[in-house]
Amino acid sequence: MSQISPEQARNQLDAAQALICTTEEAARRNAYVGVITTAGVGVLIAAVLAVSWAFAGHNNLAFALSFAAYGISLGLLIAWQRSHQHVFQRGFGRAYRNAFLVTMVLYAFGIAWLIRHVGWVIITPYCVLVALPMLIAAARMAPRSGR
Amino acid sequence: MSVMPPDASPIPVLQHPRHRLNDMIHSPVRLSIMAALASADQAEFGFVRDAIEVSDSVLSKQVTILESAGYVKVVKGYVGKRPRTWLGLTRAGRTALIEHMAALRAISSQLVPDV
Repeated sequence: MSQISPEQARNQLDAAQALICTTEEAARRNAYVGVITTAGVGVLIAAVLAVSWAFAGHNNLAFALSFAAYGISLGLLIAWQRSHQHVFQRGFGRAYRNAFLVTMVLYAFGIAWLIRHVGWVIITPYCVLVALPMLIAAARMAPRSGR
Repeated sequence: MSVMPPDASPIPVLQHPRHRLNDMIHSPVRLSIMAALASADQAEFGFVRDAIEVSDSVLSKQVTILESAGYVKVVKGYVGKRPRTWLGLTRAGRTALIEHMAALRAISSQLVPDV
């Protein structure tokens, strides 16, 4: 059993609180990386849907090049995130996963059905809709001023 | 012959908050690791090392102990060719830290204020 005086307990508590604040501050400073990555992934997925609608079945070379550009952009974005984000704020993983799941469901529906049946009037706002969950998640991850 | 009164409980109820201290977290370095991880989903090994001001080997040893207790999860990956290690509290670890800090708070509240 641990023996500890009230003074020692107070000192340990103060030290622990200081470390909690240190990490909180670092997470806040690092939050922009998660914000950019989350928004970027959403926009890239929406762009792939738009490219698929525009080129799939019509211009296979442009379609393949667009997909290659998507893969490279995504790889660079993730690599940038991994090298710059040293602390993930609390709730980041859950917010990212949930938003990504909704975006991917919308994307899959778009690929499976919409790109063969609708014109640009529908597909354009739908692409915005696909990116929206990730954009909302990114906005919510952004540190608020004055916190 | 028993001297215990007939209505006394044979197992004493441990009231003092020191009984609620978690021996696994009670080590200063392990408490520091857990505190440094408390406000993050995950933090890089190097960040935690610098925050709590210990060497790689000390942090690695203490993290292994916390991981085997189920309090810390360790995720290994690569950034380019460089290995990276990420640390995060498990749900059990977070609960244990909250309870340990509550016990510390209770003990420290027994301080007699200066008059």
